[in-house]
Amino acid sequence: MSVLLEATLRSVQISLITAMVSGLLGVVLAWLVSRTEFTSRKTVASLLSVPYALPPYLLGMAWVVLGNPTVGILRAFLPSNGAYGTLGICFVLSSVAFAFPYLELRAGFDRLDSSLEEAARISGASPVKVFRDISLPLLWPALVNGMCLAFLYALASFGVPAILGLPVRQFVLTTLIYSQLKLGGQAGLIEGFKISLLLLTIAACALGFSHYLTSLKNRLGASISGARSSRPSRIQLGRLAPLVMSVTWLWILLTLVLPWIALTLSALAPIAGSYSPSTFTLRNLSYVLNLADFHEALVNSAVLSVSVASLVVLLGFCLGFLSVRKKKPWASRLIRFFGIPFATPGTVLAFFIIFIFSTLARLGFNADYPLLLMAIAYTLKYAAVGANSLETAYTQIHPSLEEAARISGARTVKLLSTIWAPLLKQSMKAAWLLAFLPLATELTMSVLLTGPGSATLGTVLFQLQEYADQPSAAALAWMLLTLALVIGLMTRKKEIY
Amino acid sequence: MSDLILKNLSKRFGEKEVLSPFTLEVKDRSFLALLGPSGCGKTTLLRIVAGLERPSGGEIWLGSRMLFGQMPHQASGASSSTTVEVPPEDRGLGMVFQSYAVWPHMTVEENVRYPLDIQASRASKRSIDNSSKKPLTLDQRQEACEKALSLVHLLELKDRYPHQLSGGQQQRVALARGLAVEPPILLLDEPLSNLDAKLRSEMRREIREIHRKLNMTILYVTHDQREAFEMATDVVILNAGAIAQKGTPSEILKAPNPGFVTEFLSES
Ligand SMILES: Nc1ncnc2c1ncn2[C@@H]1O[C@H](COP(=O)(O)OP(=O)(O)OP(=O)(O)O)[C@@H](O)[C@H]1O
Ligand SMILES: [Mg+2]
Repeated sequence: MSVLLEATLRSVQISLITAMVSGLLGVVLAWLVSRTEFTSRKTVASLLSVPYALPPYLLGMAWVVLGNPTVGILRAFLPSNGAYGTLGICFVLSSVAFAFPYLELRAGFDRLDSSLEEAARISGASPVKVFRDISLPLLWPALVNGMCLAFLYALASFGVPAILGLPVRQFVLTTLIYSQLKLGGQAGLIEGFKISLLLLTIAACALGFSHYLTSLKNRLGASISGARSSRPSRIQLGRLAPLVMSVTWLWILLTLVLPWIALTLSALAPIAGSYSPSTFTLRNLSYVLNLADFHEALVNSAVLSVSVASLVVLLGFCLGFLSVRKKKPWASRLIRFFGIPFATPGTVLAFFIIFIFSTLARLGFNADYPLLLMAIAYTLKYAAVGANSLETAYTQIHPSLEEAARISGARTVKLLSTIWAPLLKQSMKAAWLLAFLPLATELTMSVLLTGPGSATLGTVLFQLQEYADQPSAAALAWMLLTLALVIGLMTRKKEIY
Repeated sequence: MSDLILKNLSKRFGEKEVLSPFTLEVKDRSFLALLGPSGCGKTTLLRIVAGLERPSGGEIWLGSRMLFGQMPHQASGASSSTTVEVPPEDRGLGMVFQSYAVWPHMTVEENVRYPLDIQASRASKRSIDNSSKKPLTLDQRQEACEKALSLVHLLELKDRYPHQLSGGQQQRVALARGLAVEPPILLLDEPLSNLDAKLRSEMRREIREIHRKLNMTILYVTHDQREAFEMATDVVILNAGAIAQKGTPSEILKAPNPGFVTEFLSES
């Protein structure tokens, strides 16, 4: 079998498994925390939204530490390949991607009038029947969307299949594009172009299929919301409560706590695999902290992520105003257009940018500014985040608030600065974080676009890992994971009910 | 044979006492109207009876069957007891929600058929312990469904989806769904609030007719005095989570308690 065919099949296989596992986990967990009662439910509910903020390749590195076939801490419990290979990739991706269906369905359950479910219970239907006959059909679009996002996420992922797949020579499409480009030259570029088109086609098919699936049953639309009763009556789990509690906590342990412990141990270990406390050392940490590349990466990543996140929020703020309040069709069309680069796998997006600029270079334009290319790629990829969330925010605020100011004589600039900016502050903050968090540790696009003098946190980490300097890589990964966890825990959604 | 008895029942939401402890006996086959201003706890009381809300204290009995409460252990002395809480699906009641709760993904007919089908499949498994009803056949279910739909004048609309109906029509679907299974106790939460005057008086007559024919117990929540006094055999007036007065309609009209009840009845 050709490498390309094998990589295609593996990509599809990994994405399908991840989507299935994520969908199943998302449904079960969202139902448990939204509709049942067990001890520690609120804590579980808010912890489950944390993985969403974590760069998946950090978890991948943690699982290298845990599941390395020769020195991994948990190697005794794992198959002979350890965490390497398709299964390991699926597991690590699912431990982040389940958050898509989970969060979609949580929002769905919140919108769903719970008296619809209560009416079925009073008719005599058991909780399982109520779920099958009422909740699931009504939340079908949310589930399909969540699973589609998980599929696209797995399809586009680069870091995890690189860390867990390349050492055992298992390619997926994204890592294949990367290795083709590393070969360099015209042949690599053309080969990369072909694979990129293939990857794009698969992504488009997945999107189309999910649109088809949601349209099948989406005749309810708006009727889901409407008058909802104050709060759902929660199902008492009775004897099952302890079981449910232990299983959900085990999941949190496996996906959040254990990876962090693994990276901590590995960061402190003098050499990979030696985890006895007597030999622990801070040498790895101080080595990384004194690394010139690290300083450069810190500055680059901070500047890039802060400025691009601010740019996309500002863009969304202006475009949202033009589209919602001024009813400019081109503005809403531009916002829709941003959905395309957002859904495009980062590898493909970066590749096209390289392709365009290398063509320009041959025509005589000097285009050797990796940081600029990264800024363009980041902005294209995340413009949709700012634009969509702010457009929604504009539609949710009653126009009379603006009209009152207009009657008082305020013009556009005054309106934006004195009315809309304060009103939309919370939404802008949320959108900024949504762009900043993934950008600060971006790897997929950066690894292709990077050049001399333009290291980012993601690329430095990837290099350390690739050159098998595992203790230093673990030290850097530990710092990033700790930071991401702290931010994730601080910004996680609080549970009200 | 199966009176509904609420003993020392109370409900708190956090600090807020929504229902202060009260005792209420609803005689079998009676038609009890719960009357009171908005926010006095009528819906909460109904949801507690249905099993959708857990009371903060007290007991609920249906005849000799405990639906909620502390059951003392006979064997191991008086000190220990277990909490009994029959889940809503095992209480065998019918309910019409204030918010209708008509399932948007099912047609009118499917909505009304659903409880009938569930009961048939459960009866064939004999999972409802207190009823020895025979499972209805497919034809009988179809018949019951059509009977309920014609009762609320919706037979022609049976293939529509709820979003193709007006608010009042949706409310009548909810009513038909609650009536179709002919439950021993029917809980109605302002079931006529969204209908026009003509339809409303027609439905009032129908509900009273059904009550007489089917011999069921009805708990009817409303803030419309006329509805309460015209239809019910007993009226309970609630004020801020406490019973202000109870009695037959004529008793209350003849001698309303001074204070809240007198005032409440004089506003109309
Ligand atoms: N989940 C809840 N949490 C806190 N308070 C609640 C909750 N549900 C109801 N309440 C409060 O309990 C009181 C009684 O509410 P309930 O819905 O029973 O009123 P009601 O008599 O049915 O009013 P209406 O005629 O408007 O339907 C209200 O003051 C309400 O604010
Ligand atoms: Mg009410």
